[in-house]
Parts: sequence; C-alpha cells; structure tokens
Amino acid sequence: MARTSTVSTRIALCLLLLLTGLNVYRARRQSIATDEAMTFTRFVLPPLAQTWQDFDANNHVLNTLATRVSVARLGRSSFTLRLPTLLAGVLYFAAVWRLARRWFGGGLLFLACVALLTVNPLILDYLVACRGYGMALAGWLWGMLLLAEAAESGDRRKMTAGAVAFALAFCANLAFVFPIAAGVLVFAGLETARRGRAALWTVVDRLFLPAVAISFVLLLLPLLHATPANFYYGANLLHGAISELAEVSLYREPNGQPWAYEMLVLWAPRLCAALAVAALWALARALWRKGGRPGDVYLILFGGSATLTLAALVAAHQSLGMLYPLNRTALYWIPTLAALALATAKETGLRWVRIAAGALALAVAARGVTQIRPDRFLEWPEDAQMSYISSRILNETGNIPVRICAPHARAVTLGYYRIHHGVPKWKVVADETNQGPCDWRLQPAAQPLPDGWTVLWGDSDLLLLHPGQGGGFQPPAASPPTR
Amino acid sequence: MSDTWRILFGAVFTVLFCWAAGRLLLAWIYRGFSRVEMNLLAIPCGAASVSLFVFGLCAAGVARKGVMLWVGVATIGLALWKTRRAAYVRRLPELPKLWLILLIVVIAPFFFVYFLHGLAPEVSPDGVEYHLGNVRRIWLERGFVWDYHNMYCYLSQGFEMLFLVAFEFGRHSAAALVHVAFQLILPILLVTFGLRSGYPRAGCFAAVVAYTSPVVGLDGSIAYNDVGLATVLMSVLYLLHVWSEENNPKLLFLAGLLCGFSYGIKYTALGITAVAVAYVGFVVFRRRGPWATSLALVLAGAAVTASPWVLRNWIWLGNPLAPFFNAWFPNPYYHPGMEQIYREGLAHYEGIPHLWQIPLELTVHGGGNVGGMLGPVFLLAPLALLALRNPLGRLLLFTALVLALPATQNTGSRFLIPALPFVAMAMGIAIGNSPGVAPALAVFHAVLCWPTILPLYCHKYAWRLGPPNLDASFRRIPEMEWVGRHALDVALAPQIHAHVRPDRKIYSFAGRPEAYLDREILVSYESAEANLLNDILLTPLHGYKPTAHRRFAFPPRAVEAVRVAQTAASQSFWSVAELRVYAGGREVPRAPSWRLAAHPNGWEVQLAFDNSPVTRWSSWEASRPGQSMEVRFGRSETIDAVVVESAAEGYSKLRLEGRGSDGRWVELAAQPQTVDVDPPRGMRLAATREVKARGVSHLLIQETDFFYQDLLHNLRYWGLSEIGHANGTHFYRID
Repeated sequence: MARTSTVSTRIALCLLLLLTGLNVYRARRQSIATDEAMTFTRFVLPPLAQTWQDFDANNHVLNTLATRVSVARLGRSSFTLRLPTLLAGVLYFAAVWRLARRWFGGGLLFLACVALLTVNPLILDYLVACRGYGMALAGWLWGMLLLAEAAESGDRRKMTAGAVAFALAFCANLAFVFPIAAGVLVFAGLETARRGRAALWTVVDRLFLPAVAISFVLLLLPLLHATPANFYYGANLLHGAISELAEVSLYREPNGQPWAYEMLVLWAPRLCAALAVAALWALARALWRKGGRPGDVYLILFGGSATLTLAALVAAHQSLGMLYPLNRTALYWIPTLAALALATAKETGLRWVRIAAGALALAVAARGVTQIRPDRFLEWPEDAQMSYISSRILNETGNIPVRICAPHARAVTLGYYRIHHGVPKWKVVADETNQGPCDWRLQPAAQPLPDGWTVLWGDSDLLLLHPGQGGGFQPPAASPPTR
Repeated sequence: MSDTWRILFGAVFTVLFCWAAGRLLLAWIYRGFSRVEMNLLAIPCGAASVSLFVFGLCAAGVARKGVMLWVGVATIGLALWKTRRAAYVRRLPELPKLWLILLIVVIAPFFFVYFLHGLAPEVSPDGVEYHLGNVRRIWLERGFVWDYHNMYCYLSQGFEMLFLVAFEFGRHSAAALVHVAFQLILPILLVTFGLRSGYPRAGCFAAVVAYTSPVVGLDGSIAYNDVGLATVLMSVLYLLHVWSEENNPKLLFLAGLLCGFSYGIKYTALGITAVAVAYVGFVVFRRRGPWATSLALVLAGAAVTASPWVLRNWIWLGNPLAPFFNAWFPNPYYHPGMEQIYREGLAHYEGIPHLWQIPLELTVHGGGNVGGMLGPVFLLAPLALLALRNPLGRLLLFTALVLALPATQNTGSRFLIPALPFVAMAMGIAIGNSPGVAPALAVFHAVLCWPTILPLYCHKYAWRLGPPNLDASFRRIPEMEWVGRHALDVALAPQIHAHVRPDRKIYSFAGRPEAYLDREILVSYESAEANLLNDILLTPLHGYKPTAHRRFAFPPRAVEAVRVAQTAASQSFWSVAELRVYAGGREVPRAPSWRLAAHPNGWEVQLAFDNSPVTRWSSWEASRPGQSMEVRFGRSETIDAVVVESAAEGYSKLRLEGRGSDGRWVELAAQPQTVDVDPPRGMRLAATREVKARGVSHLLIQETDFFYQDLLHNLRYWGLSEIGHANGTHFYRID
C-alpha cells in the first residue's frame, strides 16, 4: 500500500471530513423520524428489564444499548440519540479509507472506491439515524477488513478483532447475519486452503467462538420473545429488491426525468447480473492464483462472501419463504457491489477499463451527491418537519391538555416530542380516519381536507390542521408520485 | 438458635463421617492424590461406605442415633489420627489468577444463598413427600418398614441413607444441608479435575456454570439427590481419569464402588457403570492390558454398593428393579399398567407447542412441565461438540450422552443434572482456546442465574430459588408455620393427628407431605393397594359402574373348571366386577373348594368373587389375547351359563372355555350375549364402606381432584363427614 499523500488521498480525506461534518449537522438539526422515535420510546426510555419482555424488529440491540448510555450520560436530545450512530459513521469512513487503500492503493480507483462507498444517500441516512444499520455496516466492513488483513499477515489478534466487529455488527442489526456468516465461511475456507487443516481450528477458536459468545451475551435476553413474525420487512422478488436499492441510491429526487427512472428500474437488475458474472470471473482468477497477488485476498473475501450471501438468501427465500433484504436491510450490498465492480475493473489489467470504471464510479457518486437531502431521511420524508410542528403546537397551546390526532407513524414521532418537550398532558392519538375528536390534526398532504378544519402549516408531505374556518396557510401541491 | 446448631451439627457430622470414612478408604486403596484431591474425593468415596453401613443398620432394624453417633465419632477420630502425618506425593498446578478471583466472587455468594435455603425448613415437593418421607418412616421404625408399600420406597435410597444420619440429629434441614455440601463439592471437583487434566480454564468454567445453574442451585439446596448424584458421577470420571494416568488397578475398584453407589442414589445413573466399563475396556484394549481383570474390578466394586438395593427389592418385592419393569417381574405391590401410566405422564411435555421450544424451556424459561431451568449458557451446549477434537472431550461427551438418556423418560430439567457437569466441562474445553470467551460466558451466566435476576426472563411459574428468608433459615419464624405456608397440606396436620388413629390409614388422590405427617397415607398411584382403593372410589361414578352383564350360555355340561379368556388387544385394562356360574338358571354357590386364578394380576382375582359391586379385578395392563380368569371347582360341576359382570368395556372380546374330567380345555361359548342392566343402588356408600373395611378411615381430597366434583353434590350419599379443610384440600372421615 502506498503511504504517500497524493491528490486522490487528499480529495478522499476532504470528502470524508465533509461527509462527517454533514452527518453531524444532520444529527443536530434533523427532526426525529418515526423509527427513531419508536426506538426511543419503546426501548431506550423504559427500564432495561422491561425491554426484554417483548421484541420488535425495531430493537437493534447494540444501538439501543449504546443510545441508552449516550442519553443517560449526555442528556436527551436528537444529537445524543444519534451520537452512537455518528461514531459508527466515523468508524465506517475509517474502514472505507483503509479498505480502499489496501485494496486499490492510491489513484483513481481508490478515490472512486471511497466515493462510491460513502456518497450514497441511503448509507448516509443510516450513518445519522438512531438505528442499528449504520453500526452494523461499520462493524461488518471492519470485520471484513480485519479478516482480510489477518489472512494476509496471519495475525491471530486481527482474527479475534474481526470476530468482535462481526459480533457487534450482528448485534446492531440481525439482517447482517448472512454477509457475516458468509464472510466467516469464506475466510475459513481461505485459511484452510492456504495454511492447512489446523488453521480451521484457529478460525473456530479465534473467530467463530468469540463472535458467537459476544452475540449470545448481547442478544439472548432481547431475543427471547422474538418470533418469525417479527421479521416482516423485505421484498418478495430479488430483482425488485435490486431495483429498489438502485432507485433509493440514484433516483431519490425525480428531477422530472421519468425515462431515467424507467431505465434504472429496468436495467439495474441486469447490470447487477452482468456485474456478478464479471465479479465471479475476477474471483475465479484470484482463487486460481490462490490469493497470491496483492488485493486478491480482498477480492476472494468480498466476492466469495457476496456469492455465498446471495446463495443463502435465495435458499432461505425458497425454502423458508424469507423475504429478500430491501433498502436498509440490504445496505451491505452497496459497498459490496461497488467494491467488487471496481476490483473487477482492476482485475482486467487494462488501463482504459480502470479509468472508465473510475470515471463512471465518480459519476455515480456525483449523482449520489445530488440525491442527498440534509433535512430529511429518505424513508421518512413526512417526519422532516416534526420538530417544527411539535414546537408550533407547543407555542400555541403550552402545557395544557390537548388531543392531537395523526396517522400512526406520525403519532409515534409526536410521542417522542411529547416526551422531549416535557408535555405529558398532550394526548397523541393514532387516527388514520380523520373522524375522531381532536384539538390538532396532522394528515398527509395528499388527503382531502376535512370540513371545519384550517390548514395552519403544510409542506408537500404533511399538513397541520386546527379547527376553524377560512384563510390560513395555503399548502403547496403534493409531490408527484415517483413510481 | 439452638435449632440452627442442631441442624448444623447434623449436617456437619454427616459430612465429616463421610470424609473420615473416605480418608480411611483412600488411605487403604490409593495415596497418589494431592492434598486437595484426597480431602475432596474422600467425601463421595466415604459417602458410599457410610450409605452402605446405614443400609445395613436399616436392614437389621437397628438404625439408631446412638449407633450412628458412636460409629461416626470413632471413624472421624480414626481418620484424624491416621491422616495427621499424611504425606502427599502430588501437587496440582496453580489456578490462573483471574479464574481464582472469579471463582471466589461467584461461588461464595451463590453458596451463601444455597446454604440459607438449605437451612430453612424443608418444603420441596418431592423432599417432603418421599425423600424425607421415607427417611422419617425409617427413623421412626429404626429401619426399613417392610409392610409399608409405596413405589417411592422401592427406589434405591443411597443418598437418603446419608439424610438419615443427618435427620437423626438435625431433622429435615440437616438432610438438605448434606445435599448443599455435596453441591459445593461439585465445582471444586471440576476445578481440580481441570487442573489435573491440563484444562484449568475449562474446569473453572464448568465449575461456575454448573454451580450457578438455577436447577442445580434449587435441587442442591433441598432434600433431593440429583446434585449429590452429579458429584458422585464426577468423582467416578475423576477416578477413571487418574487410573488412566497412573494405571493403578485399585482405582478401578474404587471407581466401581462409586458406580454402584450412583445406582444406589438413583436408578437413572446406571449408565455410569456402562461408561466406566466401556472406557476401561477401551483403554485396556489399546494398552493390550488385562481387560478381564480390569473390568472385573469395576464390576466387583459396583456390585458391592449396588447389590444391596437390588437384593432388597428382589427379596422383599420379587422385583429387583422395583418400582419399574413390573411386567418383567410381576408382583402384587405395583401394577405394570400403573407403571406405564406413571412413566408416560413423566415423559410427556405439556404446554410446549413446538419441539424446538424444548431447549429454550429447559435452559431459559423453565415453563411447561420441565420444572426449572439449566441456565442460559447451556443454550450453547452444542458448542461442546467442538470438544470432540480432544480425547478428554470425547470421554466427557460420551459420559454426558449416556447420563442424559434418562431425561428422555422424564421431562424434568433436573434429570439433566447428572449430565450437566460433563457438558459444562466439554464446553469449557471447546471454548478454552478462545481469548476471553470462557470468563465472559461464565460471568454472564452467573449474573443471569442470580435469584433476583431470574424473574426477568424465566417463566413466572418456573421452579426456582427466590431470595433466602433469614427469618425462616434461623427459625425466627416457627418451622411448622413456614412449612405450612409452602407445603399447604401441613395446615391439616393437627386435625389429621387428632382424628386418625395411628393404626388407620388415609387415602389421597395426590401425594402429601409425609415428612411432616405421622399417619400412613395411601396415594392413588403409588401402590397396588392404593390403586385398588382408587378403583373402588371411582367405580360408583359414571363409566365405571358394572352395568354390562356378559352371559355365556351353552348346553349343560360337566366341567371341572371354566376359564374366561380375553381375545382382543387394547390399550385399556380388562376388568371383571363379578364372575358368576349358573346351572339351570340358578347361580352355583361359591364353595371353599373353588380355586381361583387370573392372568395377569392373579393376586387380586378374589375381587371378582366377593359379591361387591364396587370392587373389580383388573388386568392392570393393556388388554391382550391370552389374559384369562379361571375357576377350578375342585370337583365336576354341571353348568350351563357363566356371567361376567363389568363396566361397559366395548374393547373387550371374551371367550369361555371349560375343562372336562379328561383335563382338556374346550370352548364352551365363542362369545357372550351382553345385557345392559341398571347399576346397583347405594354404590357410593358401598365404596366408602369397602374402603373403610380395608383400614382406611379418612380421605384427603383436593378441590382439583376429579372425584371432588361428585363429592360436592353427593356428600351424604358417600357417608363422609368433613372434618376440616385448608388451602383447597378437604379432610373427610368415613362414617
């Protein structure tokens, strides 16, 4: 690995610092989203023992524990709630840097790798939101990185460190079990092939058992009440999941180009299939060389684990009816596919291919930049102004008993702000029908206004209503449907 | 406080007696142990000797306090004198510092909790019902009570023999504290075993997770025997391991003694003898040594300590394996059918909808009918399979597998306790090379198993220890008051003792705390006699009344004997309320010359010839072709009909055969004509009269008993008077 500072490394460093700054800004300024609110009210706020009495997929155990510590030590705010994720984000950026340097050295591919693995709206959202996905992503990437380094150097301590990283990733988000298991298996195979059968026991002792033990200790009690029904989020079709991932990464803001969206949905699965074939070719070459060339170990680990993960997901879907990972639960596919694409380009040995791939990667990253919205999360745009809305209600009513009706998800978010503002007299009611008696009402912008209500405030997603007639706020037109 | 000293003296004296006997035994057999090992192994080895000695006293009817006291004192004195200048040729390696601290920090508070629970009045269900119920009976009678029949008396009582010594001085809690002592020996044995075998971390890990296991904690601090058994089993493996290192054949005899003692404690430990034989055979075969001698030494040692129980049952009951295998060894004391019902009841998981939930219930929740949990870390027990890479790991896992087999016949998690130390040790070996894993899991397990933490995750009705009650432990609350709060029937004890004559019995459908009651209680499923009483009381109820008359009619014929044979197979029992023989339309009177027989259960054949509608002969096993009831008249009788009166047993198909003067059996009628008749009137009163005639003067009925619902509405027809009730149990006198 070249250690000298180059233009590409300086640009990459600036990019990472900029993104870290952006994450901090978002963590401080952005409204709490529904899922974050649920994490807080259901798993962070109650006594620890109470959180073991039921399970929900929302409980990302490591994130919950870290957030509890953060809130207990530093007080309750959107920033302290997201602080563990922010730190995980820094770790993720560090892992990306290290991976790109060790795999691609310096230059265009290095820069492209850093950009592709970081400048993605979905990834950036989850490096801010108080959820376990970002933590899991960081843990998983560090695990892969440490295992690759262990494979290169034979350092057992790195193997154990990889086990810790993998275990923490799994505890942060259970959806990462497939890439983690695949990574362990590929690493075990690689070690056995390179160092003989005895190395398998080393992998068991240094990697498998520590990972199992840490996961067991952290997850046992929270998962005691889990049932298969708790794991409901996912896609029924593989190509649907791929299209969705491409869409959220590249087409978050439509910009009035529906043809581009059609192209993306149509071609993303095909491009992925082509990329998979190319990556398999690269993987086969690396295996043929028994990982002898620099970077081969990374290619084998990432390529092999991607292949195994995909096989396991298909097998689980076919045999157990398990859903394919979707959007946030498929987060690990973004760095995996991006790195593999660049590695495949590197594997060709053709300079023009490397340049083309690097340029394309930077273009995709640039597209990603245009998709970033620092005021809202991709998956919960309706929550973007919840902080403002709750403050407005507070200013208008004070701490008097009021009844606020809102769609279920918004009611959850308002539940957080009710605690945040210290207004226990607010009664927040989940009401999808707009029929119940209320003092304040939140409704999606697309719904018709109920009679006798005035719009006090609104944006393209949400309206704040108050009983009364005439005047008031003129809501903007609802967003055009994106799909 | 004097109570506390009395209890402590009873327990400490018993343990010292065992230690002293063991020291003398070890000094005679093998001196190659370290100081710790010598003192530690002395207790289980000595326990085998003391148990055997007390057995002898009980068999001879001289189990007196004085005998035990003076023999014990003499043994302790002799052992102290003999060991005052003992030299130890071996030193165990040092314990890793981290583990030493961890062991002290974890074991000490748990021991404190277990000790206080053991010191509290004994209220455990099986403890007060039969473990100490048997001990109390032996204590009262100064020996085995040969005319008392109860399936739990037939079980081997090797550990109860030790309880008896403690009971003589400190009563119930002293017995429980003996178990607490054996419970404490277990983790220390595991640690020293780990040190000796070169796996100190594995030994420490096993010590922590086994000792803190909730079911071990509970079982070991009450008057049960499972944890004591586990300690003895661990000692067997210890001795076998030392033998494999030192190749001293005397150790095989000692291991054999403990194998037999294990069987003497609980039948389910028979497997350890198989393990010992297999292991010794394997090692000797590989060394090309004298396998026959080696195996003979093991088996001879086992025979010394196991055979007393086998012989006692064989001579006393005719069934060396009583109360099991009654179909192989038929006897009048326990029915094979009842045994089957009992075993099926124990082997069936209730309230657990999916098989995959069983491990979770056994380790974490303790719900359903698993009765307590092993502790969360044992969910990782499959990791122990990684120890298969190691010879000691293979031995441990083989032993665990064999000792866990009885758990397939009983859903109780405590039936896994004998296998638990071996699994824990194998897990320790499996994870021993992973940095930090063993201590992390051990601490995690210990924290989650602390009594006040358990309710956070286990089933609310899981059988577990709560925080100790110091008032109860140190008798600031009177003992019987505390017992009455937990063993609810004890509240009726004063009334029972006041109203029931000592020579009379009480009948109950469910087990009672006999360790605190001085009257004989016949529990419906615990003996053939109680089975009969159960039958009598249930006969007046719908479904059991003799309303079907099966009449075999045939042309008049002179026969010397008739036989009603069952020709159908069914899981249900075949029963006959009355069998009557007719000639010319009149019943042939039963004469003293008649000889009656039935197969199976010939002992109760008279019940079909006693003219009582509430008694019936029953096969007490699944109906099958070949079962029969026979009347030999003692002379030639000309008869033309036989009537079998019974409940409407649709599954039963009968055939009548007769034996003429030529001695040949011929079919008299292929099938009967069945007539349904009205049941006789006054059956309820007849039933209680019959029960009373059999020496039972009172009934203890629970509100949850099936019988109680009828009693509630028809009390006066039963001829019963309620004397008192407490906590859902009603006490009736048969008028």
